[in-house]
Amino acid sequence: MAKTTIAPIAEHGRTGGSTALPERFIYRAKPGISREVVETISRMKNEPGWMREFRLNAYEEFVRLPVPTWGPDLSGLDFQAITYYQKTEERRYKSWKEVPADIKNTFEKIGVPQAERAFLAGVIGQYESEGFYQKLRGKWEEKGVIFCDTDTAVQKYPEMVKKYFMTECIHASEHKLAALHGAVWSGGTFLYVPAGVHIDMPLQTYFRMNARASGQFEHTLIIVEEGASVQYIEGCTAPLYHNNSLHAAVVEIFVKKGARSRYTTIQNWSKDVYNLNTKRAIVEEDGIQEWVGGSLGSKVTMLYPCTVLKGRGSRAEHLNIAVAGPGQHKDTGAKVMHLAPDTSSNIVSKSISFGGGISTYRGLLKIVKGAKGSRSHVQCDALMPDNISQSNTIPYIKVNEEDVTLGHEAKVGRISEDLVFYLMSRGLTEQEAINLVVQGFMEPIAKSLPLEYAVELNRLISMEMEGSLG
Amino acid sequence: MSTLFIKKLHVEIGGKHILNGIDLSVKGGETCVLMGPNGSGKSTLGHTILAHPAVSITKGSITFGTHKLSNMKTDEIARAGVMPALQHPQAVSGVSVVNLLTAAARKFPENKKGFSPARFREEIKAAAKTLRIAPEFLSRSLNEGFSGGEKKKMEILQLSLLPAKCVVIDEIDSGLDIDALKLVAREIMKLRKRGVSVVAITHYSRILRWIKADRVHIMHGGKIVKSGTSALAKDIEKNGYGAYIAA
Repeated sequence: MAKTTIAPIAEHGRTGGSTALPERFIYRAKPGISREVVETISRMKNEPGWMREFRLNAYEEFVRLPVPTWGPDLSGLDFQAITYYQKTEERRYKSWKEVPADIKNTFEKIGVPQAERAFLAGVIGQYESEGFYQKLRGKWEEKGVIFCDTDTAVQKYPEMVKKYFMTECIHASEHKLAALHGAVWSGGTFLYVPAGVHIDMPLQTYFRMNARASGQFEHTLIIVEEGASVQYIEGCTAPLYHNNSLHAAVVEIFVKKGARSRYTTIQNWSKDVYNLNTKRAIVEEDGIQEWVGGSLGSKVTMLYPCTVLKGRGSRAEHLNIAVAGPGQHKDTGAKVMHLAPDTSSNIVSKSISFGGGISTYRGLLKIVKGAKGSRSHVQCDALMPDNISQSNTIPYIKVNEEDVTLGHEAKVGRISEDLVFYLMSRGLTEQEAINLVVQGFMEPIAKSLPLEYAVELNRLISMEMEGSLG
Repeated sequence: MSTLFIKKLHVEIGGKHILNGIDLSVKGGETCVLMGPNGSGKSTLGHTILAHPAVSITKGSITFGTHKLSNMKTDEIARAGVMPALQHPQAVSGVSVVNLLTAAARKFPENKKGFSPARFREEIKAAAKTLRIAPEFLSRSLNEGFSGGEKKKMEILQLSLLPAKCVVIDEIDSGLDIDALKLVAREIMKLRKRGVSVVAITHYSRILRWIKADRVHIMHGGKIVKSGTSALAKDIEKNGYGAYIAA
């Protein structure tokens, strides 16, 4: 399958996926979705009855709900052609020494064990549908931090999962893809940070998807207790082939009073993937949620991370960059609900459309009556180096309170002949000049990323645009 | 040291004749000043030397040493050492002058070996200090929200830090106050001392009080109508272009 990105040192010779390895599995569901497939997944995972019931109810919702038609065209998506579950390992490894050689080599090529040693507090590795490796530095384990794949969490911490899993933040009945996710979810990250614990190094999960025509449905659940803070990063790689694969992840984040959470992801999908995700955070009093995202590759991406500012003085920061090349449609944005007084949100959305690509910013900003003193600023910048691409901005704003401060800016930039001439007159080639302009455009996003990721993001975008301009 | 030769140059922009047979040579270390009223073609001549994409050469040639500039692209011309200080340099959002110079410096054959970004950064800081450019301008987006004077100083800063051999300086004095103009002129004179050929395009002779011109050419209607020494510039300062451009 098709999710790629960003390991600090990437292996791919080009974007949109890397070289495929022989497929590896000990169990693989037959293609298509049915009650039976859902039951089989639950049985293979040896899940408790409540999770099995949850999955079956979500399946009923999936059958009932229509395919969303308000956004990009999803008619090419055939739910019966996709393989929903593929298990590769019997157990979870705690040391890279135990990991089977072929998987270990793959992860070494993309620099995972190296990055873990250098700058990460913990790492989870996921291959196909499930995690195979998990390691948290002892220091954090002693402080009560939990960092494991979500399947493991269902077995080891059922009470917590039962409390937070698609109960309050995102419901399976919200839309067809959330329902499908609820029915067939597998893998993902469970992260629990106890009150007052500040994890000063990022935690990271790496996904490797290797099988063709498959689906990936990881569920990430992050709970940051009062006064705690954490930075979580997702990185993924995938091979090159695909026939209309599907990624429908769900991310649920709970930011308690005075806590701070940063969720960073950069996804580089191969060009026939439908990337349809639902991500949301609920933030309590004085809490802060930051989203940093980069969306590359894929055929269609729909992604609008949402922050619910529930507590007084809570804050949301959304930073996103979407890149749409030939044949690609990026429908991305941000949603913020201001439900309490003195809440603030800042949304910076950047897009690059080239070679006929379409990128749309779709945003929702809602401020309810009584959310006095709330502030919001939305900035949408589009860069279009040619005349055949498209950029749209659809900002919905619903404000029912008068005592608020709102700002909205939208800019569309082209890469002018004079700008390229200027940079070339300093010795840069035309392609290098364009790359530098693009890097400058992304700079506000890049500076929010760990250095390794910023460098990799620049490199991926340059490669993606190579040869498509001029 | 190389000589810039322009021979029988004819140039069009969008099908319109702008230059109608220019002959010019500038030796290494020599300063040549091109003057003339608006629309005389002097900025187009500058753009043509640098192969601006809007400009097309219909006849004639431009060479610099062994390089045939009239067959080269802008970046190749720059790497051969021929670079402009533009009249209206573009703003580059998210890219500082340090980013640009560091990316550019690596491209030059002179820096292929032993280039140290850290040392280069120190050189940039020192050069900025000489030009009295405040340190924060080195990390801000280049030319974004800069005043006319700041932009011009940035242009000279870039030329002084890249291995330039021939510089084409277009209307450097516009937007500069006297103090800034003196600083900029001093940097241009340093380039000249290094053996760099200077082609200075200017409307007014004001800058010639601080830079020493070896040759002054008056342009009109896409041609050089009069050539002389700095005495010619003085005459224009006193009497205007009238005597030279009367049809």
